[in-house]
Amino acid sequence: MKQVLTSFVALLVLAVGSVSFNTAYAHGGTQPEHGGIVQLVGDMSFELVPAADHVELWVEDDGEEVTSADLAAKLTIVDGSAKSEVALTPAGGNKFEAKGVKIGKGAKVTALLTLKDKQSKIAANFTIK
Amino acid sequence: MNRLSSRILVVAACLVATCTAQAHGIWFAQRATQLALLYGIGADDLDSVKRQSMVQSIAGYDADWKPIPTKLRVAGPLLLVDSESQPTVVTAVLFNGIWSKTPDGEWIKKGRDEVPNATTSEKNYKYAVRIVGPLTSSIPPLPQQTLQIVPVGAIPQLMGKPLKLRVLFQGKPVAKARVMWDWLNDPDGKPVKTAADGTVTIKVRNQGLNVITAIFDGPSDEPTKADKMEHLATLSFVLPHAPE
Repeated sequence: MKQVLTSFVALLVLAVGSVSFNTAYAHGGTQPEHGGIVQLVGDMSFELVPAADHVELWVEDDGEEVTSADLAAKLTIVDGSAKSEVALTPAGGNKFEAKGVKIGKGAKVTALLTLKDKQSKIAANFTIK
Repeated sequence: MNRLSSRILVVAACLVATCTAQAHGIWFAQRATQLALLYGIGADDLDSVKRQSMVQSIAGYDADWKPIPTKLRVAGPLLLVDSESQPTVVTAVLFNGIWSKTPDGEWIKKGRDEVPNATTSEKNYKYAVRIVGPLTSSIPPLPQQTLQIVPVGAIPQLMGKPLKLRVLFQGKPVAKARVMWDWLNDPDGKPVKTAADGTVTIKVRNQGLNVITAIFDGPSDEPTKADKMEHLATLSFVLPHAPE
């Protein structure tokens, strides 16, 4: 009986441990809020919205919106053999934007964000579907 | 006799420990979201900033192996990688000087010309390749990476899976390079030697940061100062954790 109880307690500890472990992972939302594609990189959430005539990038840090005016961002777009770079402009709140840009399906996009210290950088990779 | 055997074992263990302690490496790892160049062995992540002057090259490459302007910047006690664009691969070379081992087992930073009774003298080069990814083709021999570890085929995405590697010396496969599967968490592990075609198969050790090491002794280019050149290369990459 004592052995059964010990095993039960051990299982309970393991179960609680697993839950804690998974909870500690969570940093930010993974669901798009603007109809785009979301990538989580550590604490930072990037949502890329490729539209017909422009592209948007929305950023959050640990679930909190960060002011785009304090940051810098650019995209590197690889579409087949063509490679281009696009500078993004802060567009209010946590949004960046570049007008006149169309990203084709299948293109691979890297968003590079330069943080407020103007030195630290974080990148996110996307494939446009 | 038992006591004698024990003493021999202790002396042998000390010699092994001394040799291992000498063999520091460089590798790349993430620190507070940024990529850092680190120096040390095992959990000894030593002062890389004071060794910045020994770094002979730092380079970044895109997926087509075109160079991306990349430099190191000091941020507190760390050397961080600063690239103009997101690199696919980052490399570094550090020249760690010439070291000699005295008959009493001490390593000192001098050549054989200054330590004539040295039991060995070696010139030490450290190399590091970091796969930031994603790779779209095999990693070629990269500039200045005299010793380089290259994955053969795709890197498995789960720890425990077999990973075939090829070790290159001066761009060509090299036999008998000593490969260790986890420089950080198993630095005293038994190395596996590469076959005649330079290949070796290990298991991926970690569902996270992996730092694989290869060590190869090449001929000395300054025989009066060093008996050999020890080349120590790392290949680092990260396996992603499960979705949150």
